Amino acid sequence: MSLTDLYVAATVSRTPVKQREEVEADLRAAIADAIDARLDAGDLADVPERASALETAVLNDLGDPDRLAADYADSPLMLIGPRLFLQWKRLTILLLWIVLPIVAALIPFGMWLGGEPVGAIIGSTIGGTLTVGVHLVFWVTLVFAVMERAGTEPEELSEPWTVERLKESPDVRVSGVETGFALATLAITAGLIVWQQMWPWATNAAGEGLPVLSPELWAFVLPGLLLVMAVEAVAVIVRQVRGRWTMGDWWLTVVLDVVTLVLVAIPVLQHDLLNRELFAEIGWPDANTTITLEQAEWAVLLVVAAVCVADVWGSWTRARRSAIA
Amino acid sequence: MLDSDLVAQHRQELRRGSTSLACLALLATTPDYGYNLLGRLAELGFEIEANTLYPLLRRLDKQGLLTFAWDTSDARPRKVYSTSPEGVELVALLREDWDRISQALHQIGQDS
Repeated sequence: MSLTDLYVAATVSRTPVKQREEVEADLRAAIADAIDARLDAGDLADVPERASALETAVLNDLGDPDRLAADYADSPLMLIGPRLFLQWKRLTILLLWIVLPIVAALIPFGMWLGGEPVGAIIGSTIGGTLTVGVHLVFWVTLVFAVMERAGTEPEELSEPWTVERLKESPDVRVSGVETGFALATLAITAGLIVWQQMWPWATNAAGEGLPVLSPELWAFVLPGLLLVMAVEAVAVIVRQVRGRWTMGDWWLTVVLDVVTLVLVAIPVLQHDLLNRELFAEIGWPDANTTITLEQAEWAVLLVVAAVCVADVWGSWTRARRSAIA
Repeated sequence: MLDSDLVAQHRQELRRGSTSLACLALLATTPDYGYNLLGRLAELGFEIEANTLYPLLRRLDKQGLLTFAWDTSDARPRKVYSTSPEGVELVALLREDWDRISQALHQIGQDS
């Protein structure tokens, strides 16, 4: 088989069956005409294998046979085009927001009822949520790719855009409620840390108070956390006065979240977050549970990590929405 | 200094559409086969690649704007295209539009 035969075969095999004969004849004539024209023009006159060199040059000019076949068949060379892209994006994000939190809550709940160990619950929750997310994106994309090829118009999927939609967009200004909520959360968290040390609810046989968190942490970790919260509170107030988020706010949030995570992770890795003396006193975990204190500490770290990630994500979207370039 | 990529991009946008009009107009005067048409277009300054022209001719044929007959007088059979009556009608319409646009663009320069 000559190169031309291979090229024609490659193009025709991706052309609808009814058009094949016609496209093949058309293409062969086109290639032969182009080669003849180059022969007449005296191209590559001193190359030894001139005929095959010219054939190669002509076929290179014609380019990827898949692309040529798609042009002949008038089929789109994209999965989802600009007409449907926004609808696809909105629906995918909406479904992910609805479905994934439900899955992420149902899997651990079901496994907890089934008495599975904590490690297995965490692993299955992450794995299951990821799997559902991948499936969801895949199937939505597949449906839209089919609609793209069927020529579905965006008007068939949703109402045309009007200014009414602007009212649904979130306000970029910092609200008093948001600031109040952030300050209250910081105050309550800081208060809890101090309160569990100053007024512990359990005492040992000698009558000394037993805090929930290891008292050793007052050497560095707990003052560090209180300092982070103080910086955060100042930042929240500055933001309220300024009235909007900046990218600087976002960077500060990232730094504070990373510091928080590190401060919590240090005692968890050293198995020294929870006060062992207190738990020995109250006799938990007892024989009725398979949970260990280490697992409880890891759970605390996971919750803190989730809050930090949500915080970084939330401040990113806000800062990006209102940042002035 | 204008960026040459930028110029090329805007040129391509401006020319898009004019190529099919040029094909229909040329094939209305003299029926022709693909490769020869490519040369005639190039002479007039329409830069179009073979891999774009052949599918374009096929598309115009499907839309009923071109008709073709196989020319078997030569060693290899070739599709010889000519513009259909509908195609000729379309050329007349599009030419008017083109003239109107061209006139309007000239006017903008003179008014200011």
